[in-house]
Amino acid sequence: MNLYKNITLKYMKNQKKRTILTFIGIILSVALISSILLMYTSALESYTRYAIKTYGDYYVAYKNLPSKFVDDINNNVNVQNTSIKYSFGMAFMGEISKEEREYDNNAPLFRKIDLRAYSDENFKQTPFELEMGNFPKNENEIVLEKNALKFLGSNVKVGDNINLVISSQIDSDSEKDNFKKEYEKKYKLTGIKKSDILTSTNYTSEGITLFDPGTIKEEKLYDLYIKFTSIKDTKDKSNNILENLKIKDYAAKNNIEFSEEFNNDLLRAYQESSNPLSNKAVTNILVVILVIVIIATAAVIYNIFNISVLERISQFGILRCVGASPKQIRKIVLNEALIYCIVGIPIGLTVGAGVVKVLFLLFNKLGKGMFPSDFELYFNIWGILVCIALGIISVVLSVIGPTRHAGKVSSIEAIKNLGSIKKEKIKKSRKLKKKGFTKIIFGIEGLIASKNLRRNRKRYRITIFSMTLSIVLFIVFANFINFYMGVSVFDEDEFGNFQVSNSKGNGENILPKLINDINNVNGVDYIFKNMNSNSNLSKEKPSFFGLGVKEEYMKDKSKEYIKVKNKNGIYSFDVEIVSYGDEALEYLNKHLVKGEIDKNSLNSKNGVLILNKYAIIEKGKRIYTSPFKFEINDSLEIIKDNKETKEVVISGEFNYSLNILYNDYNFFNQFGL
Amino acid sequence: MTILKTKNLTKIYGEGNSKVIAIKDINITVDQGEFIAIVGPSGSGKSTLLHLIGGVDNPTSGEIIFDGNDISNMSEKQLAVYRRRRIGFVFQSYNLIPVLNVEENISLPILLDNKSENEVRINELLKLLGIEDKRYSLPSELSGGQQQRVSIGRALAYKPNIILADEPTGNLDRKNGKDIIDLLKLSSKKYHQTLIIITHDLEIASQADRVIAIEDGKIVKDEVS
Repeated sequence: MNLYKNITLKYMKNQKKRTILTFIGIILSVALISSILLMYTSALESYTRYAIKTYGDYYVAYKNLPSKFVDDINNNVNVQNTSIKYSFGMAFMGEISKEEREYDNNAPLFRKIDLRAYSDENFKQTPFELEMGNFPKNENEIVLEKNALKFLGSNVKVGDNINLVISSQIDSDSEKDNFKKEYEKKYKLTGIKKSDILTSTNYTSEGITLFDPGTIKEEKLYDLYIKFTSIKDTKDKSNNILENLKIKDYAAKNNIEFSEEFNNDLLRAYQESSNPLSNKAVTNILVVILVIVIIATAAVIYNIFNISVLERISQFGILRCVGASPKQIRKIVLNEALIYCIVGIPIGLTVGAGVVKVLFLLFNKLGKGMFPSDFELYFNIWGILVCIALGIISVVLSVIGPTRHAGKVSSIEAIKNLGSIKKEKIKKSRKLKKKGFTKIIFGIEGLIASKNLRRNRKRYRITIFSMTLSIVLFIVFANFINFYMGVSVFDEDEFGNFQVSNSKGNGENILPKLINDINNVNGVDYIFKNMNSNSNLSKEKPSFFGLGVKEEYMKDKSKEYIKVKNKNGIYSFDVEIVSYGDEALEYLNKHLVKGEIDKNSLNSKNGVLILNKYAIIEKGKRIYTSPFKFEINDSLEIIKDNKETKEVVISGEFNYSLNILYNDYNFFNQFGL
Repeated sequence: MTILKTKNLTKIYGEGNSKVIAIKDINITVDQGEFIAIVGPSGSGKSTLLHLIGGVDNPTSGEIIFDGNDISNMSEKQLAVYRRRRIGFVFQSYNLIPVLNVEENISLPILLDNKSENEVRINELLKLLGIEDKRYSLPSELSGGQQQRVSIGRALAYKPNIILADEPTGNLDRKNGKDIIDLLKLSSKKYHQTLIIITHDLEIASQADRVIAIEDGKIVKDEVS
């Protein structure tokens, strides 16, 4: 056997405890590194698979694409594969009853099935899950959603023939239009599709049949789903296609509502989302954490190796006397490191994978609903290679020092049996001063201990350093976990044990009675009322509520940002109008910056509380400012439905983002809820 | 035939106030096959001289000519080869590698030279040293005398030109000490090796071909008996 391996192995066997300790150190470091990396890569992979399952395995979809472009796109070098589908009408499923429409005043006039034909490929490329049965095998077979079945008749099951009443109209607004029957067709029901939460409603569902992509008709519009050969530069590739074929020009000329839709969830999962910032941020955090971990573990392994080398100084000295060259001595130490790597790294990887597996189990169980999909452990060859490389780097970093030290061992020192003691310098000058201090606090034991620490300053510093790093790591991870766990807990606690909400304006009489009823339920301790009215000031959509502010109250800077100004010199804003209920007023009192909160005076003078803070984004940074120069008792206008205005008086001011706070009475009074 | 020669060999430790002159202007000539005893009080510079000759320490000034080459100018790597092939060290405290067994300790210089151990040579040495039955024992399982035999075995393994022994009997009782010296003498005769022994024992010194006495780093007596 090779001499170095022999000496190294024998030494390791001889020092079982130290060997085991070193192994544990290396295994833990590699486990730490690999669990971080595996968690990251597995989470990405889980997310990617979830995205493929939920949103489809394509990068971009061209909706309403004229058929003449299909072949050209298929022949593009960047395109790996495409699939095609088109809508060919809708099937009538019965009228919606008057009672139903009274209950929901947004309800359409009739119930329908949107009929679509998929190419074979399209079943694989777009999200499609069967609850039972099979995919359609020809154009006479169909798959329906479960919620459509009950309107087809009582006993319809998979395998039955069904008769559909069809109109070839596609984009019908079924709220207004009547159904225009064009033809009837018999289909064989081959399967039940899992309902798609994104498209199916109580009134509309999907029916899907198969078509042969070889039979595309010229005059029709198709939806084409495209997967490129690589995900890189998806947006540029798509742009190139659109520009080269002048698809948008053609669509505009022929009045076609063509659209290009990226599968953003999948692109994001592949780290190709439109915002590269978010990916960089995650990567940077990962790099910082890994660097800290590597430094920390290298420090620990360094310590172990250094002690092991110091212990063997005399052995190395003897070897030098007998004729070993410094290179040979270094080889002995490096061999030891190599053995630790070969055995430690695979075990570390396994342990890391196990930890991630357990963590994911916990995540999936405890954090249900927190994440879009369940986490699963996936091995990624690059991730594993990086783990191995990082493991080796941390071991190499930690053995460089001790190896050089071992190589420099002078045989004469070893013979004289001085070990490395000779190299240690004890600073004598500080002896007296320190003696008193340490002795008073820790006694003679402390004095000896401190002398011992000062005997080898380097080792002392490394120990302090690794302890500091361990604490830093602990704090970082603890905060990280707290943050993540905190998010979900916060959301649920914030709104009490359960919520009752009424988002429509037609519940006038329900609310006070409802509050009263709930109050009478046994066990209800407290009702936290949160009434708000959100609005949006934009040209297309007239705002429900706005805030009008006279020019004199505006700060100069605010004028630049808030450009909506009407003819009377009044600036208007979107504003959220909220009432947290009279019970909350007392609590709010503590947070008041200016003014006072008194229920009676609020009622008598139509008083409101204002949260006078506004976030603006300047040069990519978020800046909070208070945009107005209000004083207490100044008056404001609340604009309702963009025309009607009401005057209110400021009674108090908070230093939070801009909101108008009402008390119960004024809220009811003014907004009629 | 001259195998080793020193010219104005000087070694000074430390600087300034703590400066110690270990040896000064030593000039000796050693012939192949000679048995030399170096005597002198503690701290006189005997060991320093031995270490300089053995290439484990560097002289402050002067030359050490071995077989025509000045070893004081050699690189660390060349010195390692010199120690491995030309010199056999025997120490007072044996200095065996505790994790290696007897056979491995003895064949260490051969293995360090990346050569496979010579079974015949090892058997011959074990027989010569009378420790054939201890072949696979660890140093910790041996008595002092046995350990010193192993260390002699190690020194002889590569058939070096010079054996340097620094008080080889210092830790042994009289009987064992005598055996060790006999062994050293026997082997040096057998393989025609130069043997340089540092000793306080006048009886051992009296057996040598030549006795060099050192005091305060200088040779005070150098006579052939």
